[in-house]
Amino acid sequence: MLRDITLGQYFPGDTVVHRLDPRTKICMVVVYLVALFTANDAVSMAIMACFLGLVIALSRVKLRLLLRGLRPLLIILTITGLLNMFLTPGEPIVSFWVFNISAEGIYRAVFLVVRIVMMVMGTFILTYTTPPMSLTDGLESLMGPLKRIRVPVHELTIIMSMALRFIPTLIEETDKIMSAQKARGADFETGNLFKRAKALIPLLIPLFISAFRRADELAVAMESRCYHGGEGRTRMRGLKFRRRDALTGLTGAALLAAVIGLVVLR
Amino acid sequence: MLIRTQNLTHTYSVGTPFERTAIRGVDFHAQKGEVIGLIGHTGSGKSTLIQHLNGLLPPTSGTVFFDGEDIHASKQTTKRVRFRVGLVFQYPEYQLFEETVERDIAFGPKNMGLDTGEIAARVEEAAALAGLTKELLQQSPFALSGGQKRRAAIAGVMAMRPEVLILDEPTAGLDPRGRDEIMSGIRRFHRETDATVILVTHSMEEIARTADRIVVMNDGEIAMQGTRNEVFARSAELNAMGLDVPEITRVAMRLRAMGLDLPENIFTVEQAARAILTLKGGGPNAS
Ligand SMILES: Nc1ncnc2c1ncn2[C@@H]1O[C@H](COP(=O)(O)OP(=O)(O)OP(=O)(O)O)[C@@H](O)[C@H]1O
Ligand SMILES: [Mg+2]
Repeated sequence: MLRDITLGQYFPGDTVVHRLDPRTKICMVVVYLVALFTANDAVSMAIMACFLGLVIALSRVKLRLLLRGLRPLLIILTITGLLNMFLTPGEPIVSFWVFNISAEGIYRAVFLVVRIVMMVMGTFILTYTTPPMSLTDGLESLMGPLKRIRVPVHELTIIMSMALRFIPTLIEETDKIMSAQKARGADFETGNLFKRAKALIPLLIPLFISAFRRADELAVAMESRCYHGGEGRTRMRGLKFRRRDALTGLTGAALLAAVIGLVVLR
Repeated sequence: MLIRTQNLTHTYSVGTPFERTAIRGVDFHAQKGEVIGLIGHTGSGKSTLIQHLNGLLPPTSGTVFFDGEDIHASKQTTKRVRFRVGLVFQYPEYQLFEETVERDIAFGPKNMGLDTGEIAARVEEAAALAGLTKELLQQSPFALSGGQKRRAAIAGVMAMRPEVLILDEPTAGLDPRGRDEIMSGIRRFHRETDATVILVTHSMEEIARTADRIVVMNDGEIAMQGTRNEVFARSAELNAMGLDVPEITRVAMRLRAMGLDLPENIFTVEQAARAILTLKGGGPNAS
């Protein structure tokens, strides 16, 4: 069902990874991504995989959930894999018609697919283990210095947190309206592209109307609680670095150093 | 038996931390022409159960039969059943989308593949049953009042002339007038089409007034069922499940406890008034 989409969803838990400061986690994801794209041979990739495995184990996020998050990417992954397999020049081991598959091609294809999968899994662990609110708090705090050059950081993060907050609500709403129209015989699954696009009208119109209504209600609710932007706003739960954050930071630095070292020394 | 579920179980979000079994081993049945009241505390699985009856939710385990046939036997069967079992969701006004009320009501019949004349006839019939006037039909559904929107949405399902009409809390959030209009529309539909009606509600008064049989759900299971006499006689058990008997029944019970010789089966204000008048001597017509 639509509701089982896991994009940007938070799965509550009480592990070290869950308890880390969101700022640490965001920085770690950045470090992880940089390292992942620096890694260019089997050894450094293996180190990255070990690190990812360790984080998955520590966070106790079910592997099945991570894999399910990958499902929407299946097409992109397949295309990337195939293109690289066929289009990488090299000594062909198999060839038919106009296609040549070389050892280099296979290696490159596997390498890229693994890299994308690891990239997505890494970022999913961030959203799976961090409540949207802490995530945006963390972002706001990290982007704090940008306020000096008049970037409306607070406004941007509140927009983001609202968007995140309403993703599940909208999915639920879509599900409900879809069921209601299906009960009246609407058919969203068969027919050609044109027919399917037309079948979406009974879904989209009520969805937009309810989204606007919600936005209105939210604005009123915020104003009636005297929300007036970020100036002078304090927090109920302040962010605080702890020892585990320092340790995590060190691990991240070590990881990055190891991968860069391997690449440079080669 | 028109509709029957056998050992029906449904689990939401299987395989995630949000996994939850909403109904468990439910054996529900409904006969032709029957009006069934489905009650139960919040989260007891009423909405989940009724969404199985027209094949919107596939059972996790168990079977749903319509007219003796498994409704998930094939895609065609499911589709056919969807037109024969009409389901009105909670807050159905949020599903309105057409430019005019008339066209919105016609959405279901159009999906059934009926011809224009038949569609027009059905729209007119359904609008009359739901208590919508002719002028309203030409307006935008978004210009209507809350109660009118609700009736328009219900008419949209009635227009498919379902053999079973299921309504999920059709009167939630309306004023007494709006509630009465909806309920009398539903009774009118039942009277004129002799369809089976399954009514989910939190209002014991509505149930007492409308239902031939009451089915009580508790924590995903059917806890009791029977006529209103049978069900409302077990008020202590109902209380334990977070439910209650109609208010007027409670009043009658207190009066009886105080020594007034009232009959036990008083569920509506009219019954109470009649019984008290009879007791005072003279019956309803003597003043
Ligand atoms: N789409 C869903 N995904 C996950 N869980 C759900 C979903 N729909 C319902 N549930 C859960 O299933 C249980 C039964 O819900 P259901 O909506 O059937 O109850 P209900 O009896 O209709 O309640 P109410 O009187 O509040 O409408 C609830 O605990 C609810 O949280
Ligand atoms: Mg419900």
